[in-house]
Amino acid sequence: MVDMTREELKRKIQKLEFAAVELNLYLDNHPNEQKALVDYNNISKDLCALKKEYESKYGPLCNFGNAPSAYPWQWVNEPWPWETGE
Amino acid sequence: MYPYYRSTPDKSKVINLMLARAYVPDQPYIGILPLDEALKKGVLFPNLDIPYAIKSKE
Amino acid sequence: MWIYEKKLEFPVKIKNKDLRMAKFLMAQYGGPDSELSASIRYLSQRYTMPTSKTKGLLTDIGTEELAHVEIIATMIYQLTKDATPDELKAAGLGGYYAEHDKAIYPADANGVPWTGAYVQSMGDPVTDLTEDMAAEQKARSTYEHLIDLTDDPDVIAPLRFLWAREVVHFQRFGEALVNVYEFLDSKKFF
Repeated sequence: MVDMTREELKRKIQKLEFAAVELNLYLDNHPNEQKALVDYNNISKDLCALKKEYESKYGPLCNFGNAPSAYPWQWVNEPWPWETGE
Repeated sequence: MYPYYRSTPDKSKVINLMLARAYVPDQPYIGILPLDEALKKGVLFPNLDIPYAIKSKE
Repeated sequence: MWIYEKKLEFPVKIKNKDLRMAKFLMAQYGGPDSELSASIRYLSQRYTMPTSKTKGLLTDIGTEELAHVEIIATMIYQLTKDATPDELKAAGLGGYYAEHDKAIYPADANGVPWTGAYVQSMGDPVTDLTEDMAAEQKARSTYEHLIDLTDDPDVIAPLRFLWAREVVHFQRFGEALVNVYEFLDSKKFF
């Protein structure tokens, strides 16, 4: 498999996380809709794996202890989302 | 322009509801759109995918 | 608490400078029906929602709106990149430059600063959710006006995304309102 670029990886995360947001809001109102819940759990699993892959290559996506950092502290590295638009 | 309004509801189906209340029909789960398409459109669900009326700005 | 994620909910890749459009987009950054108003409105109202489902929904939509605040700010940031004071003045942003340079400041398209007076939090879940439904429609209309004001596909793409979010949120608040009515009715009879 060809390695995805940083932007491609970010885009794939955006697609999965958007689906997770949508299913989350739907499930808030329909907690007993099992098919939606199965889709949510599958997407969460894929999203988690993809975020781990991204973070191991490019540093943490989330602050406050949600991802470890290599030395030196990577959280403050450029670029910020508004700069790349990703 | 009002691209949101596409059709009027079938009034015969809206019976036995209490007056002076607002109702939005419950959205059934009919599966999801391909994730590429969903992000681009801003909606994951095929039954909530209301097209934008101005074709050139779709 | 909240965790920041170093990514946008939707990509913003604007290649062409357009200062007038940046000014118009301020409507959705610091205007009455802006994403900022939406977020503060829902996150304030959630404390007095009567059901766990509605507390969750307002938390989640209020959080998503913060991501929309960031998308609009990013659009304004990219549209005004490398603009000179003279160009800003010509686009009607001279007053903005005087007060804020090119910094992102929560004001509307006419420079009026954002205020908490744009939102309500009434403690009555029927009233609050009805306001929320109206708020989503007002924001949807604003996006239609903004889309009318540009032909740049890089600007239209995120605006179309945000337009659709208003429609989805309206559906969710509508379902929540029906749920709250059911809850209130069940309390009346038992």
